[in-house]
Amino acid sequence: MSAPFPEQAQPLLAQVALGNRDAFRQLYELTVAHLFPVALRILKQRDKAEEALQDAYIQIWNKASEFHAERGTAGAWMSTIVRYRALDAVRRKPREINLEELPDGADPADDIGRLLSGSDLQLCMDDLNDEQRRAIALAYIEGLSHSELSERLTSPLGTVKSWIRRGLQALRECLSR
Amino acid sequence: MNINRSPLREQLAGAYVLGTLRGPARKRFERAMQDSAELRDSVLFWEQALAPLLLAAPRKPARNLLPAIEARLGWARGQDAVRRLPWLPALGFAVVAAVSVMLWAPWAPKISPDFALALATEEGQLRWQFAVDKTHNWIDVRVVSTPDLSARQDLELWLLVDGSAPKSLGLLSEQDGQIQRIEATLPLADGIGLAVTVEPEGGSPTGQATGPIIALEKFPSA
Repeated sequence: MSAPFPEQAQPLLAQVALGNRDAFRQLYELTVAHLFPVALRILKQRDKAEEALQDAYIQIWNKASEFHAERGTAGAWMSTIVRYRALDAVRRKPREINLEELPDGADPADDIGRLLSGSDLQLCMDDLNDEQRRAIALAYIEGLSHSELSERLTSPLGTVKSWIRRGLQALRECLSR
Repeated sequence: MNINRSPLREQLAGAYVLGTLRGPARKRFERAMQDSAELRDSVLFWEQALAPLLLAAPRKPARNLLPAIEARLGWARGQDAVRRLPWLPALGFAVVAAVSVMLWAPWAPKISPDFALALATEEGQLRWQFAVDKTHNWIDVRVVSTPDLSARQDLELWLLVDGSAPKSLGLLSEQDGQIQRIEATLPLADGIGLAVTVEPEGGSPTGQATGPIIALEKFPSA
């Protein structure tokens, strides 16, 4: 089951911005189990995911003062940092997929309806056709490239690119309504 | 190609956040982002919009990563916290240290403080001058210029303490030119610096800083 990102992260992040090391330790304890799956689903290997997570927490400490609550949630801010560090690691060294280390072997794209229930993002994801929705979710959650998506979805590269392009365009229009 | 044109900008920003923009195109986008607030805004939009997709069943790493993270941050025992804070330059305070010396001269505090300190906001605007007297345990503040606030906001002054949450020193006057004496109820000698945050009217409801930090400076001895 998914769990919401802990709300307590936001005031802790404000403390971390002030250089409070104890707040940083608490923030780690509170959030690590939520952020580890973000890195693991992209990197597929525990040790690599742990390395990316270390990089991410160092960046969280260094950049905490750049987080502004009025511009987004602490969960989105922290998860995004973890994603970028995991994507960096994937680009440095392409992954060897070890399915046994995947969180549950299930395709995360299948869970999105349940995860997003009732949100604007869900309504807009529902507006996409199945291929677009699946391509975007897999690219985002697993960090797949166009060619990896083409392989996974057994569809030509050009088709996959156009799903992504049209999907993004439709999402942007829907989300700004 | 003008990537600031709106539909293309949104498409590239979306592909950047999604991660499908790769290779040299990704590098070019990152360079363009440094110069364009619009691109940064588009990226932020996508980051916030898509992040809910990342929710998953919580799962801990097999080992505790905190010791390794602390080691990489250089938090060995006995090291000074503030000097190691890598984000200080990011806030632009390097400039302030130099500026404060020059601007200090016109205002001579009546007490003999242990040291004087000036705080500026991020854009380099000098806001407050402080004279810190650890013997009497008070701080004289001269309000140079108050940042723009809404009617429902106040400025709160915090004493930074190594190893624990900052302690409130109370609200700052918002009248330019005013000199205010803050008699601290906690020992200033324990502090390593001062910070100012924007808080709801009347100050932080929780006793801990909740609003954005708009200025921060370490004590010279810290």
